[in-house]
Amino acid sequence: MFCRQAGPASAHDMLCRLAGTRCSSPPTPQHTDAREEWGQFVVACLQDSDRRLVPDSESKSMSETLHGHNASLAEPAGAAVVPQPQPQQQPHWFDALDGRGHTRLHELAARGIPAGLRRQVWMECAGALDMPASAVACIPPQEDIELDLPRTSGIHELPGRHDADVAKLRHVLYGYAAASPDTGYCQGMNKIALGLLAAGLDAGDALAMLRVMLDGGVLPAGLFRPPMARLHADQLMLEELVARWLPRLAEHLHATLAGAAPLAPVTVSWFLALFVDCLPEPHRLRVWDMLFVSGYAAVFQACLGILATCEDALLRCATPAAVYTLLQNVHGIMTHCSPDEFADRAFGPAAPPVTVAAAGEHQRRQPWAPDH
Amino acid sequence: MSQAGSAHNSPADALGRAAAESPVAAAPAKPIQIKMVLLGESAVGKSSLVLRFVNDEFKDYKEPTIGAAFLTQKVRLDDSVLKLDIWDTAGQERFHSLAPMYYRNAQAAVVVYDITRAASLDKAKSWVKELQRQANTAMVIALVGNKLDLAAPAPAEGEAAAAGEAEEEPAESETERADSEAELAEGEAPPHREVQAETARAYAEEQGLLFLETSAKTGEGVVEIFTEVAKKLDLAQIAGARAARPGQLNSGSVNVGVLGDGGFGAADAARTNTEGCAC
Repeated sequence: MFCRQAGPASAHDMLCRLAGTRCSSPPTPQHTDAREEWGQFVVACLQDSDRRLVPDSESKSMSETLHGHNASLAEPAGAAVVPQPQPQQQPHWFDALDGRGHTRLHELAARGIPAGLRRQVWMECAGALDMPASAVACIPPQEDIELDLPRTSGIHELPGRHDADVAKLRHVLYGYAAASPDTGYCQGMNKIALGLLAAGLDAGDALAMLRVMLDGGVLPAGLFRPPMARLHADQLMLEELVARWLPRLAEHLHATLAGAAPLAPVTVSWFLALFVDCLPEPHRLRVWDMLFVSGYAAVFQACLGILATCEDALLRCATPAAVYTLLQNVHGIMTHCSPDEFADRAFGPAAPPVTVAAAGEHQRRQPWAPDH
Repeated sequence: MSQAGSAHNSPADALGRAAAESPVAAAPAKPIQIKMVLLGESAVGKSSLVLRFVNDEFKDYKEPTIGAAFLTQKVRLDDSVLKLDIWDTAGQERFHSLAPMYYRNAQAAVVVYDITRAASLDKAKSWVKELQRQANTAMVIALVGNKLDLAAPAPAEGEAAAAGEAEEEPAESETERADSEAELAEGEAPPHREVQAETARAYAEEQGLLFLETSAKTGEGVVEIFTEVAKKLDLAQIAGARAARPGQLNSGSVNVGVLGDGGFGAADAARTNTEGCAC
């Protein structure tokens, strides 16, 4: 139960947790190692950022916060969510990252962010902490959302959690639809929101994340907006990447399937639900860790990683039905590949470098501009 | 999670009877592959119809389809075996621009509406119009009114209730309606029929479409959609076209069952023996 805090305090909070002070989950040896690595990394970043980013402002430097009095530590765990003060833009530790620092951050994220740190790292790296809490919106009932709430996978299957989870999901989806009426609710957001909640974010944090993902530059603007032109364009880009990096597979698919973008009928859902259905949870969390830390390119890298993992099986498919049946069931194949192996294939040093134009990574660090 | 339909009208049972009456053909014919697409508004039951047809299952909360889902199922028709490659599309309006990807080159389309939501028939009509304009001209289109289990007890309606068990419906539909209410937002009135079968049938006849009313929940009419579509297809023409384009879609024995869930799992293996025309 962590509170949302602003700027340096959140970095501080993160370090406190790295030190285990406020960590509720029992540490496992592996856990502790990852935690330590993240701790050392962030401390180095903080020292760096103090040197580079806080030249003459009155604001207390982050290392002062870090090494100074521990007032905020005394705060009881589970304290109420502190409303976000209006962004008085504080430097973030990752703003200080140089090329090597970024490489290190990506390496760490590819190996998986420790569960206890995930919320904090996601929200900081994606820029969700800069966003003012959404006002409670009053919008008329949305039929699309109402129809999907009870039938979103994962909710109904958990006995006793039904009502609470539906309420949280409703909060997130209505909150987003109210904040971004141009985009509104798009099927797929339900799965993404559920994934955020399942990762331990509360409804308010999940809404902030969803907004920053869709409208704050983590994903390209308009990916979920009719007429879905960006989604179509990105499927073509994926085909190009497959042709370049998995040429044998591309040739085989071209010979077996008709049409210009033969993968698109299946891969659109990978984009829309961000791999919630097609990857086992540990694998999908690696993709999300990378997405929030390094941006939209991670989505393409993940697609390539999945296709590379399934390449041999796909090469044995002689008909469209066989190919599509397999692609529909990549989840099963992926369970035979460890998350580490998959992450290494998708994001490791030997993975295809993917640069995505207009992914909006540069926007992420900009002060959040409310739409209203 | 899944529940079989009531004994007298479940598709498996109908197939079983058909199989009992006509012994299973000894020589397995080379399957003819048919690409089929399901279209229709969100939450009318497209995925539930396919799930009932392919796995003979029903889920009260079938999760929304994102993009589309691909499933396969075999149907036996006289001495031919048809292998249906089914694209079950997402119904949300904003996915409209994705649809051509799925109906392109399809030989059959099943356009689904919900008999308890009149607006869903309007959407179905607009799909029909689009298919008639954009898709394969020889495409067989079926108009399907789903959620028959939610219809208030009504006089039997000709073919739609062709199995002839309509008179046994009332008692059963009471309990089913109670189950299905859970799907609705609280405070809404229980669903009732908004589209009369005659209205939809008249439209279908005028447009040259097949017309059926179904319940994915009980299984009523579900297998009939696929067998009726299969009967109306010009199989000779389709098989001929395939032969002229070797290597494209022509395949003899395809083992798509390797991965299970795609439609050729255990349930399918069990059903293969009983498949056939239920009429």
